[in-house]
Amino acid sequence: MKKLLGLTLAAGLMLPGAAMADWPAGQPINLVVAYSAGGGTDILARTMVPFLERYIEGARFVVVNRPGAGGEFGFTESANATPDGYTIGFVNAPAFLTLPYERQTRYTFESFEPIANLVTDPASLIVRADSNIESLEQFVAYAKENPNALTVGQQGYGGSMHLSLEAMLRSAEIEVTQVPFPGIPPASTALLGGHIAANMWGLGEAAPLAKEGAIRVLGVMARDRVALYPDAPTFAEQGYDLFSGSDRGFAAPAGTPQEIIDTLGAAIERTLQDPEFLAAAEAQFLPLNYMGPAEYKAYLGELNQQIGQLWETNPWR
Amino acid sequence: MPMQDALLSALIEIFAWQNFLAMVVGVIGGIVVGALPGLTATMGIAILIPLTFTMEPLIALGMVAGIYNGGIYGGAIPAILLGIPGTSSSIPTTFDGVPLARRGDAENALRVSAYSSAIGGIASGVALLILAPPLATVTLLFGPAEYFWVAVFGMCSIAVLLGDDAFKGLISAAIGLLIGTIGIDSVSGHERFTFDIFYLTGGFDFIVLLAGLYGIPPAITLAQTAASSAIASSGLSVTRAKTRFRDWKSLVPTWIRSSTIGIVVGVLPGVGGTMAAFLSYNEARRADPDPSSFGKGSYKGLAASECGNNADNASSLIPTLTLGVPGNAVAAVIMGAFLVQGLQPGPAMFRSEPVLVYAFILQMIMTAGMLFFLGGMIALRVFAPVLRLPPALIAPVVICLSVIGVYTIQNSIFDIYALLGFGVLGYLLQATGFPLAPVVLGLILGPMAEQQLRLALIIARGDFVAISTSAVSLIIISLILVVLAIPLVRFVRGHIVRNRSRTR
Repeated sequence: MKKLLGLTLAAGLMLPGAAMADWPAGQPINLVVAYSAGGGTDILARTMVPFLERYIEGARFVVVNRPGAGGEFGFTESANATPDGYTIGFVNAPAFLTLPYERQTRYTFESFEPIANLVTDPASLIVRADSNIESLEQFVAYAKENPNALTVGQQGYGGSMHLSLEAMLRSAEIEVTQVPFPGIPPASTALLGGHIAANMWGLGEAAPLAKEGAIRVLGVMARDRVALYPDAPTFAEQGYDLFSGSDRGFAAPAGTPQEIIDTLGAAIERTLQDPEFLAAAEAQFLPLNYMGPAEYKAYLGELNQQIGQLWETNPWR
Repeated sequence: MPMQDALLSALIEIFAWQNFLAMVVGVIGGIVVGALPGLTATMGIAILIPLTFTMEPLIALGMVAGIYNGGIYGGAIPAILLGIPGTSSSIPTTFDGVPLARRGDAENALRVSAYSSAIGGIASGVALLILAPPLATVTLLFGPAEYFWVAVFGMCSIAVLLGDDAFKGLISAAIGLLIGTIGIDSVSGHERFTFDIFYLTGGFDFIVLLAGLYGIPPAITLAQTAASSAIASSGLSVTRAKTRFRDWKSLVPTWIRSSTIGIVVGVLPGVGGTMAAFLSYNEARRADPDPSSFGKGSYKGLAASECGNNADNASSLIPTLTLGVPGNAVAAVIMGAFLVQGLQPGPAMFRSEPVLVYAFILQMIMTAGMLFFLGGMIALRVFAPVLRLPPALIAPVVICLSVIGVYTIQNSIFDIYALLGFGVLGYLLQATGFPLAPVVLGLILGPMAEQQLRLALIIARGDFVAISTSAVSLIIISLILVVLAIPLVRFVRGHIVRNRSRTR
């Protein structure tokens, strides 16, 4: 026991290069989730853990929930952790990218070393199934004739659905009244109860209700129709080249050894090919979209630049 | 499959020994979690979910149902024994539970609360079973405008609850409202009262406030007694009751009334068990021929609070199961438990997995029923002996548990400092005669009222009239007027009677 303790201490004191050789032995890897236990990101994290432990020999993961302040607490924690591979976090884009523009945060985009993207949930514009508005064209036409008459729910200024909605409004040159609901459930009851006209939602959340026949998807901001609900037309099909949504992926604090990043990235890639995981993802309506470390970093960098430009020209706060 | 067949198959399924055992384990675990200050049923289920990943669906859901029902009841145990509500929905349980325990009737109080919880839980489960579709449509009638009025109604019921010193009660409620404004405003995204302190941007979780206000001051008081009496028994021991409470019949009207209130409040997303408990306590007091007995150890008050908060349980799952829209934190976590099993809650689930859905509903009823046997037993055998410990031991244990419980909410050290700060605040408030309940209700209802009002005004484009004209709004507004008028009428009538007697 004493010997083991000594070894662990020694491993902790060694140079990063040497410590890396031992990684992930010795201590559990903290996986920081910036949202509450039981939420979408949390369930995804907890669903992934057994697979990651299977594909990285000797690794143990602990999910740490650090909810609050729109994700800022959790993002700050994973950005500022010691870059030794023992703390990584979920990053939810664009939320973690918009926060540093909106207020003085204790991290920036550069504080992170992206590992891999897991899920991309394209934004979708939805109305109640019995709405008079049957297509995107009708929606735009109505909004042009009656500026600000349509009430459209989103999930908070600076959130993914707000940015997607803004992109649509600019592209179609229309104005609507935006209603910033605190999360999906209240927006959902408000739409189903007829208190608002439409909602901007991730397709993953909209698909189950659309399959029920409770809501109608007017358009999805994806390049192609999405497998989990192929009935929904894309915006591009209807003449609007809009590709937007929310991404969930892993990131480590900047400075984490590249070898660890690559090991984690490879394990995530294998998880996303595991049939058992794929079945779980399908049941949870998760639109999977793997991006490896290099691709993910480039993607987030570009997204960050776009958000920066938008903030310059049209600050939403 | 017709509903009766699905029900029958479900009934057979849940009596399989593994499933039955899962429910028993869930109920016991839930009671323990609920009884520890700072730990909630929501947290218990959230922690359980990853473990259920590999379980059979009915085992997992049975445990979830057990934790839920057990957890909400569990809050009553410390509420009665120590005056520390384990969950915010057991705050009204302390009003009569504490006086009962002080006069040596803790055993009876624990039994009444267990039975009342069981009855509320069963009634709620039955409502979920037979009334889910019509009640789900009620959920949809409530938009932001209607929720705003519900929150106002809740706050007016605080005003009624203020008790003897209305002025002090209002100040307490204002403190709660003020605390509720701290953090990022969810509508505009601006920071309020954060003073550039990073940790304040998230605002305060009401569990931190609850554990601080209610958990720390009794511990301080206990420590004071310990200091003055050295190591001795706390004198709070649960002796065998001199007279066993047998007058169950007198509680029947309270149970019916509180179950109804709990079920209706449960259907409204976001309102929650706390308001159910407060409202049913209020109603029980108002309907009683002797309202002055409330707060002095009335079994009816105790039964109303516990029956009301458990009657919220199953019915708060109605929007989740029938619409796929979770109404509150617990329901969201339970929806997570379904999702992990590959089940998407919503009307389709009733068609695709009828046996499983009905089995879960039956598990909600069964686990509520288990409180009859397990509830009182665990309270008396496991928790009551705690009171025989000297206060010098109880005080640090209570503080430790509160600290651990609060830390688990968001793994934040700052929350522990906040807990201690609220503890000092609670101690000062209590010492100066300010009631604590309005502070907690203010923090729960204030942000709800503000947020919903602003959403409603955005939707109505700033039209204050438009947010009050729906049928539901009008009904709630008239209820508000009634609630506000009653004390006024009573005051005026009292004045007239007094004047008359003076002139005679």
